[in-house]
Amino acid sequence: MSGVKPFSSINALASVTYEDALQFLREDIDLEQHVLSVVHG
Amino acid sequence: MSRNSEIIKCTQTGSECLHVKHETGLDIYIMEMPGYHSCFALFGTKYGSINTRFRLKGEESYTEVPEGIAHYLEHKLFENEDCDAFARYARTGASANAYTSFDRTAYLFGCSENFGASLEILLDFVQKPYFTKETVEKEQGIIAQEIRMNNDEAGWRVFFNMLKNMYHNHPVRIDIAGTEESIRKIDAELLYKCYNTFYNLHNMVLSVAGNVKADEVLAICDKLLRPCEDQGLEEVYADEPDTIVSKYVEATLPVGTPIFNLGFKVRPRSGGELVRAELIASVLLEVLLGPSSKLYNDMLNEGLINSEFEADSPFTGDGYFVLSCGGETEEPEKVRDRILEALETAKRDGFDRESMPSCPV
Repeated sequence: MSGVKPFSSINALASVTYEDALQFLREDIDLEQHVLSVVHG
Repeated sequence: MSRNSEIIKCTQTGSECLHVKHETGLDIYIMEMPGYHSCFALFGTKYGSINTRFRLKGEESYTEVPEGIAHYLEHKLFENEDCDAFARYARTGASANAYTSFDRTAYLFGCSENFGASLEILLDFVQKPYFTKETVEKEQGIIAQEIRMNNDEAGWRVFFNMLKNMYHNHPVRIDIAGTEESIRKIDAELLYKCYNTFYNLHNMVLSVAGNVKADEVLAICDKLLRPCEDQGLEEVYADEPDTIVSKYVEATLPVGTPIFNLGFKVRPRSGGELVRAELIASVLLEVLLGPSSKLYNDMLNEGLINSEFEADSPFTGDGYFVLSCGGETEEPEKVRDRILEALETAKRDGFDRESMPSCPV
């Protein structure tokens, strides 16, 4: 046995801040690069 | 037996999972859950529909295989010379299934008794390919029918049409099952090539959870897993520009209300950076488009969307990263414009800081 590794998705989620989210929105989402796909009846 | 292992522990719930790096190269994860009535096991390989170009250590050139071959292989692996795996599971009472996605293929079962016998079946048939010209040809019609069936399914079509108009070259744009044309190129030799490349235990994972003892699982693994050499698998994808193919695509199928997907092409990532970006993107979409958001409630109250509308989890993998949302609406272009407007405003002015989820830790 080589040890115990802590894991928590809850901790990871809680570590996302307002600044992280806003930076992602501003720097990673290019609104021009969108696709609208529609299925009509 | 001395094992290379570690315990992965969740500090909040106290849950523990044993991770063993088996001497054959297989990663084994076992979660003992005493008091539960059932057990589940999944034996999977990191091989899916996007893995169409690869080479092994020492090979100079890349091998390219037809689209849909990972899914085809999954179909054929259930069948061996004597009988199919489902007939064997029927004798142990396990409920078995398999699936192929963009980047993985998994074989799984759940049971409330005879766990050991069912695990032996799982490890045995996945490690015993049997493909002949006749059995491979027999499957073509079945899979072609599955492809046609997928194309008739409105949710599937709206999603793949979005991907096709987002990615120029990346194989994520192709149906997991391939096309009727691509599967005609698949033969027994190609299936063996892919099997021997990707169904190497160094590229695979066994995960077990339920009322089971780790020692029992590991004893069965020691008995049935076949040592194999790490082949130094290397995969490549065609160059993909940052831009989309086209902004709008539509199709006609018998649906009561039009359905839509609106997706954004985002720079792909890998490893820890990908996990972190997925988390941030999930939170962002929930805050801006989720049921508690102003935009969601405004569109709902105006009758533009209904409760089917949702922001999807980030769709990500090797070389692709898509943020999307979708649902039903009579006015898809108007919904798109409202979402673009809200995102543009949030980019410029920021958004309500109080809307960020809080998790006490």
